[in-house]
Amino acid sequence: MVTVSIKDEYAEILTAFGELQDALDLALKRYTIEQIVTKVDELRQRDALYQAKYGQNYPTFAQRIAADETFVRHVETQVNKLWEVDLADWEFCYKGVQDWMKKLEAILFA
Amino acid sequence: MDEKTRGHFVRIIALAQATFAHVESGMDITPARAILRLQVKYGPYRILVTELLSDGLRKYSYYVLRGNWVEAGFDNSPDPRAIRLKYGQIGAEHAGEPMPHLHQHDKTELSLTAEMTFEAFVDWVIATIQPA
Repeated sequence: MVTVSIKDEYAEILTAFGELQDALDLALKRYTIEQIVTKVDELRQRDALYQAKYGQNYPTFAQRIAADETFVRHVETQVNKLWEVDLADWEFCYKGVQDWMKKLEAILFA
Repeated sequence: MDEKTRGHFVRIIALAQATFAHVESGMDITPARAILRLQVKYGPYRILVTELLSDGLRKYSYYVLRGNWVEAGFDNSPDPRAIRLKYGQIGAEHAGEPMPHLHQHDKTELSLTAEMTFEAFVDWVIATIQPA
């Protein structure tokens, strides 16, 4: 449990609507959900950009780039010589959506 | 981002700022992973750095570019050419295995390396590449 201070004006108003703790819990929950949804949306957009760039989804790309030398050469000559840089960021975006969705579900169904 | 990860990234940025010019960096996190992206100038060269902490692994790429020419690129991606170089073949047992290696001569030459850190990379750049 972390202790934070609340401005008197907010405390007074929220108290008028009921229990202060309940109001703060609800407000924080809504804000947290909003922040997670924004982050998920941003990561999905970046994931979609990489999918368009490489013409496949992340799992397929990650599997092929790690096993197929012909595919690696094709990517380096036709798409992006520095695919390693994209691979890390793409992994972050793709798996990051899953990370945040798990956190969102935990908050929504707690 | 936990303090250990933040401290690791902050040290990389500080070293980059002390060594190179025009340092631009960005960090991002999820509940399970963290990434640092960094770009600097070193004379006529552009250096791109990425460190991804994901699934218990540190995945890195440290690249030195002159225009579009890849002067040098250290990374530990599971590049099948590096895996073949190490094991002689690319079997299912090694596919996807992080493999530290170095690209040179615009990625026409590849050699295996030890695991690289940003600190070691900076030392390598200073010792190997003339900024003028």
